[in-house]
Amino acid sequence: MTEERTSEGPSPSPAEMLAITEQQHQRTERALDVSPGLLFGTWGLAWGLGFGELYLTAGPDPVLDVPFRYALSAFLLLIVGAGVVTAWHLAGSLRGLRGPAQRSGAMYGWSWTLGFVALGMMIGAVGRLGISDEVYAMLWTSGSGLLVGTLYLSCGALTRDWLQYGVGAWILLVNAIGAFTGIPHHYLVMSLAGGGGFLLAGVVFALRGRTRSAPFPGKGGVALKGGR
Amino acid sequence: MEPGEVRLDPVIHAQARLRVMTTLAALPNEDRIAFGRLRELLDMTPGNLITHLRRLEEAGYTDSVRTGSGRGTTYVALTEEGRAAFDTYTRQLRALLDPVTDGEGP
Repeated sequence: MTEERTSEGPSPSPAEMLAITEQQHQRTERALDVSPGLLFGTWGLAWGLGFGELYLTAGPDPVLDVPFRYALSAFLLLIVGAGVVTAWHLAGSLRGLRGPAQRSGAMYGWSWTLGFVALGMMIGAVGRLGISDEVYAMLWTSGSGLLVGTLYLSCGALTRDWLQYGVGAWILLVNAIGAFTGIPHHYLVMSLAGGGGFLLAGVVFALRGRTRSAPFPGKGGVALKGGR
Repeated sequence: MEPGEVRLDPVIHAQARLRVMTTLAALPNEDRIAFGRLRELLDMTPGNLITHLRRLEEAGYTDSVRTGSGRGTTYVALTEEGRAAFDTYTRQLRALLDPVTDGEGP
């Protein structure tokens, strides 16, 4: 057999070559794949802390005595922070790619931004009609729950990922039912069941990612395929 | 080494080009990757990568598209032929190793 000798010296054995290709495959997947575990973890923390903090500062006899305005600012800061982490992670994995998968990834990323901007504007418009802080808080809480749940639901549907679909359905359900508990309590529901649900999903995704044996030779899914 | 009758594709059977092929094969089917990002993922010098890409392109395994006028960005992807050749190559590698690793790997 004619061995190809190039600048990198003698051709290694098949075993070495297999190791090289597997190593490079993993490296590429790690760089290109969106990590649902990281994103769920980020949102789990943001919701867990954000809604938790709102709950502790709300009501007639709050655990922490902080004006609603500041508590809400802290909440929005956490949400925006999680949004920035998400956008940074998506942009990083899609950087330098072009094609249908890259386009659908970018479009999906933008649908989050557009959704939240539209939600903020809608709540702002409702606010002009003169609503109480409680209604305002309810709109933000249940509105973002509805938006996030629907986005996960549709992403799960398009990628045939039952776990993401399940997370979306869970958020929608918890949000719709929890809203009936009224404003300080709905915070607690969203913090524990919503944020906690995200964290749990993040752990499941992280474990699933670890046990996944290099699916080789394969076409690692970029962006929305969430690995595998 | 004694690979028997199996003849591994000499275009792919070189460390650097195998790594290029592996990286491109990990992209979703119709997506392309910018030369710069490909280089990052491979830790290769531009000159080195260009040389190997030229060889792969001559074999019909990859193709490059230049976007924009003047100093645009070059986007690289595997051709259908390249993907098939890569799949064949890795299958052959596994087949070569299977009897050897017997009882060890899956």
